[in-house]
Amino acid sequence: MEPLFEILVSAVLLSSMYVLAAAGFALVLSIMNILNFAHGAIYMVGGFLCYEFSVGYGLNQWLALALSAASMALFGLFLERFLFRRFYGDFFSSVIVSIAVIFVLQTTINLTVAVNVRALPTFAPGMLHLGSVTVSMERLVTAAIGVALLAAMVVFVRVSRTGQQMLAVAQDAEGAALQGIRIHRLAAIAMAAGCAMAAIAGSFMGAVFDLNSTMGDLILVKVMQVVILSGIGSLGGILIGGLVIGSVDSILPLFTTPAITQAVGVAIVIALLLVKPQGLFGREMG
Amino acid sequence: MNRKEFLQSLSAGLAAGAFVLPNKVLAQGKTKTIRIGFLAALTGFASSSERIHLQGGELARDWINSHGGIKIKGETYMVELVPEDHKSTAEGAVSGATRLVHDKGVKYIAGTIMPFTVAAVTTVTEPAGVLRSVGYNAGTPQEFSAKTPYTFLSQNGTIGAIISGMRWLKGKFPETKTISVLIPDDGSIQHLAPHVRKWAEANGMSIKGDIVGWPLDTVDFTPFALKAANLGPDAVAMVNGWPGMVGSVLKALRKSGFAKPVIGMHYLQVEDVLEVAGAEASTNYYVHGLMLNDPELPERIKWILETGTKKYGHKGLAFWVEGFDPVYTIAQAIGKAQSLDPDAIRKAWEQMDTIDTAYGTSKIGGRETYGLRHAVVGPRSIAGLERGKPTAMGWVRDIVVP
Repeated sequence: MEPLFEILVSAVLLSSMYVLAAAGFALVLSIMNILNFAHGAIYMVGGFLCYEFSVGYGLNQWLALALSAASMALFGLFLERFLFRRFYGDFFSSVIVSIAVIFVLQTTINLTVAVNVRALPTFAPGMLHLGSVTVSMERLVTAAIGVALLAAMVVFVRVSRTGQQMLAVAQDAEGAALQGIRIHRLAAIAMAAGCAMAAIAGSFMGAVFDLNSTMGDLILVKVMQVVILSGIGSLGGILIGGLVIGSVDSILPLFTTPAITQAVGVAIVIALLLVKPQGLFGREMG
Repeated sequence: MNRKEFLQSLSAGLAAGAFVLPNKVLAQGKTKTIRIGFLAALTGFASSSERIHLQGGELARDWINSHGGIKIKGETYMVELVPEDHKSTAEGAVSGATRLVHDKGVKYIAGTIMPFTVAAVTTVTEPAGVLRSVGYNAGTPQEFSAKTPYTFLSQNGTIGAIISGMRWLKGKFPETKTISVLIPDDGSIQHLAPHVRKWAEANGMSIKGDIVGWPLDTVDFTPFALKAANLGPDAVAMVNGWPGMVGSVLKALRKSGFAKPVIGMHYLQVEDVLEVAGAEASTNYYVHGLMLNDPELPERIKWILETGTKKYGHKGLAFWVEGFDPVYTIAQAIGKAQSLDPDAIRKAWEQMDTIDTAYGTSKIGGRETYGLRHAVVGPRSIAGLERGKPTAMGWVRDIVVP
């Protein structure tokens, strides 16, 4: 019983971390219809920035986190204004732009700070004892923040005026524009928020695991799996998608080989795409 | 000065110049060079470390040239390094090797390090008969076997680390009887598992359960750490892996309550593992690694550290050494062969019993293990993390790879 409880706790924690990483990506995809492959690179740079602010400049780590999120939000505004805006509606061009951003960001990190192995100090030291299972506070806090951010994002989109306008743009951009909704302003907000969330995710994951120039590539694969499962246009569905992928990654390795674990994860996504291409809770694109 | 004196001075000056200049040109013409290619990731994900390997190669070039170069039949040759970028990909490695061999006419290549690039380059260098000294071997036959007669291994490699690691583990912790083992699931498990079992048994230990494989795209290593710990071994061994992975596994092991020894049968700097695992989890961990303050650090490594720090402004110790030895061993083999012909150099190298490396005098072996006697094996230091502090744990000497 004990190992099973430990495994389940581990699965929930990892799932929540995937949710944290996927939230920003899902927002940009749902609102702007942009598959921002640079999300992983932004997540990575956000983590390194947090490290520089906290360890390099000696700031309080939570302040460093806020500064990192703010910096990447500004970067998101730049990306939307000068790179993505000219390619609205042009799916393939925006994908190519996002890939170019990956190269620029990864190369910058590789040539500057990546030579030294780094990990952020923990945001929440200590351990919590849940019965016979011991869980690290940093994983719990990371998981909690992931769920909280997702909830905040869902509430914002559904309840606030700006959020409602974002939904309108996502459903019919031309119609929304005709109604007087400022598309570019909303796209900028979505992009800034998406990048800020990526930076927050990268910072927490950089403390739980480590910081390296390829961490964004690895997490992007998981994010894509989560978003495909939950469905495009569904923000709340990220929670379910994260739970499925996180559980597969946490539980299966204990009982089978890594190859089968990976195959099962991919098979789930493929099976869903065959049966329900829009995902569990999503809308059809286009 | 009158006109006559001026013309006389001018004539004398021109005569002197006419005598000096041709001699200077002749002197320059007497300096010969041997061009050694150096293949490394100068761009891409591996560039952060492999640019330092290239620096190590440059340090080797400087060492060789400052010690008189390479003497072949009375003529002195200086080493010229020809770097090429493999872009951290297999395709980049093939195109980089192609440029070196077919465009630049290089006959000897130092590097690479990563297994998939090492394997990829053999498709170019072996058919062309280009001599190569690689900086690492992860234990797969695609990188290094009887089918790669022009490839030499200038470092102990993974199998060398398994041999020395098992010996050291039993010596330090004689009560160890069972070990669980973590290896990346990148196709190398099937090749490394027999060596792991063999050398564990040779030291009176056994492997508990199956090898725990982990995929290269793993984000969270906790399940794999738990799997290894739940086998109930006396120690956990990690074969291959990078600091982020090792630190994550160590952290997960310690947080799960596993307090027994963890040993890395590969090469890392413990400070990097400490950075990731944190001080609390960094205890009872040991790996083949160099430490800057090791009192037994070989003189050549001290030179590399001192010179490298002055020249490049940072302390890239382990990576420098990994880049130094491939170039250094090629130069010695050329000197031994007294020939520039790769075939003659290959044969001469195969006849050598020992060769000098940054670590000191190293043996040459590997016929039984790899299928060819091309493996350079030298002494290695063990570094540890005990109660959050990096600690030099001594050296393993007289390592033999059969």
